Amino acid sequence: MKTPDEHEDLLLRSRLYILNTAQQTALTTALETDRDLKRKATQYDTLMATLKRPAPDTFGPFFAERVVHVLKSMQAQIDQEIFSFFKKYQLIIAGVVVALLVVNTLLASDTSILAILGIGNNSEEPMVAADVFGQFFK
Amino acid sequence: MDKQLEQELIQQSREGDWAAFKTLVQQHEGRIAGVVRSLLGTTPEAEDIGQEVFVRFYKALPNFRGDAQVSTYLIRIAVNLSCTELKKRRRRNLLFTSLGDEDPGSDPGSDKDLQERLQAALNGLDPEFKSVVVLRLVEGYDTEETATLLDVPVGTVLSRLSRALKKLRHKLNADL
Repeated sequence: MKTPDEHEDLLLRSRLYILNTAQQTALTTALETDRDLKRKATQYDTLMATLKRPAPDTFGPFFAERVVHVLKSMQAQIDQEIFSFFKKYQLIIAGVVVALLVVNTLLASDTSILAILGIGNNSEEPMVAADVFGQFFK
Repeated sequence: MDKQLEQELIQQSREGDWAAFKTLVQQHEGRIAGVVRSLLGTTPEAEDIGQEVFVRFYKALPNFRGDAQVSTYLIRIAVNLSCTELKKRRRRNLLFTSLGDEDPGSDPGSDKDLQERLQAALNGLDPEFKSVVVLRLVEGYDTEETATLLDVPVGTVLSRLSRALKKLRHKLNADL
């Protein structure tokens, strides 16, 4: 024999999910004999019917356009931030490059462009690419 | 929407096609509006959260594998963001004077109709109970779909629904 609370749980389960045959039989019997349970059943049905959305909802006709506008604005802002970051440090970066060129010029034994850029080597005879690969694979 | 068409729209959106992304938004905004507004009411925050749902979706597009349906993914984001907003509201209401949107049963002489009283009673539920009621009973998803959308077991959905409905019936007993 089930308690009134168990019958109420069974009633709710019948409205929300599925009952097996034994549960369905127990509920049908309880609804026939228990007036309070029958009243609760009516109340729950009214509650659920009132909760149900009467019509589809929408954020309005131009919602998609607003979303795309927000995304485009965000992307433009990110681009601007990246640009500003590099702009802020461009003078420092240029200064470092010039300083490195000056140091290379002072330390280089010759004044060729390659030596100034630090690409050449210090040997008397310039080493060609074939020599470098030859040494490497020897 | 056909799954293959949806995948094509996602791919086009990844490649920077705004028209394709707009079509995706148009296809899903109704469901998201329903969920968010049922949870938060027709407020400016509801639309902000609606926008945020699609912004997050757009940002996630490069990693979106398509295992879950787009609608499932969007509704999960919508419920999570709305629940966070409800918790914020609750904290604000605890800090400041309550706006009086709870405990409608304490004002039996009011001429509010059942719909309004029910909405007020619904607002008094904790977010995790309210989200289950909204998805299952307001939006009309079945119990298994609700469990999938919330990523919880069916048993959890049933127990939360059962407790929420008992609480709502208890509050509105005189009106039903």
